[in-house]
Amino acid sequence: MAYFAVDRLEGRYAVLVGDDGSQHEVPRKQLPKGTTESSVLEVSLDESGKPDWAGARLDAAEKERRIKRALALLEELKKRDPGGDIVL
Amino acid sequence: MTRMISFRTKWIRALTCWVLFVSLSAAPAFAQDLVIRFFNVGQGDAALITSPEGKSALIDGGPNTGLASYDLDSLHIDTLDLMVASHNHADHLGGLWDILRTITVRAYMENGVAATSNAYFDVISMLHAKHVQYLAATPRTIQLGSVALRILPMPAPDKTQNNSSVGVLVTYRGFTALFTGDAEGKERTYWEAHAELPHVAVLKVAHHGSVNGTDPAWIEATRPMVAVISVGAKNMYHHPSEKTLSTLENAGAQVYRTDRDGDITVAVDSLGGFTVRAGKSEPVRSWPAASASPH
Repeated sequence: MAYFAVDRLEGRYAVLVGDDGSQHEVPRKQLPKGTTESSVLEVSLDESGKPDWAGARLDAAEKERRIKRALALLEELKKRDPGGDIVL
Repeated sequence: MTRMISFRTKWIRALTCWVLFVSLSAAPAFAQDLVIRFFNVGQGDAALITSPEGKSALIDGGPNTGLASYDLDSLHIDTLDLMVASHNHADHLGGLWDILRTITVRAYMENGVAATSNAYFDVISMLHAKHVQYLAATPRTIQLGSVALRILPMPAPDKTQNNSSVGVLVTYRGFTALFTGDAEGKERTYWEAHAELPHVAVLKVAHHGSVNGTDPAWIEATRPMVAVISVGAKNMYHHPSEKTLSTLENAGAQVYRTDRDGDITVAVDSLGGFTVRAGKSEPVRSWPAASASPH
């Protein structure tokens, strides 16, 4: 099993990014109903490592965990922003 | 004898000065003016802004193919004063991690809309680890030497990255260039109503020329003289759309495309006039200062 994030939707395709950095353009109709941008899919891989998109499963809890993790870090980063106009 | 040597030395010095003067006068404007380079990174965006003072800002890093990093390396850039992720899609963000890893980045701006990819988390983790100054994409002006980067207001938070693109208006001596990320109709309509946009000399066409990245009202609002489409050759999304191309051409904009033209370089002189060079061998086209100013 591996996780793939739906990076974006481009017309009939969903662009998925694997946790290993790989990118895949998959026809949206092959993915579970309800797949949107930012969805996280749990996907099984065959022996050669090829994802089985037809068997993909939406993992809402993993999506929530990732967003919370990112927002927590963003909150830390925002403390470095002095605000207002900036001269570089 | 001494007098002859002295005369010869003076003559050589004078000749050296003359050669230096002629060389500097004939040198491409790139050495001292505002330069905007749209890198050909395939299907994605990456553009480098270099101020006359040598300050630099990178807007997007293309996909994670290493092309933007290679381009920066080719220009011997080891420091970026500002890095902007217009939004957190892999075709704009993917190349940023490698750049953050290898060179000094003083400040980083993004839209604050968290993505779920590990690629995104790796980027913000790198910002944290390297103590990079974070700048929220609120309406504000970033002064990059004598070049001003005005950050456009963003509509109410949107779940989609495209409509949360960071809009950047670059101004320098009457010249203006507008960066739009992948903004779709919702965000562009908001900008038309709230961003006090001028007519611009150069427009980075939104969303790689997709049909949802351009419409006649937007082109009427911005009236670009030059439109740059950053797009991959033979991409599977059929960008740019014929509709976008005809809208731009009907408005009289000169269209440049990275898939056909390669790297596209805009050099702005001290009066606000500018030239565009497409690729390495194509002729340069010029727009004088009077025509380049907001009209």
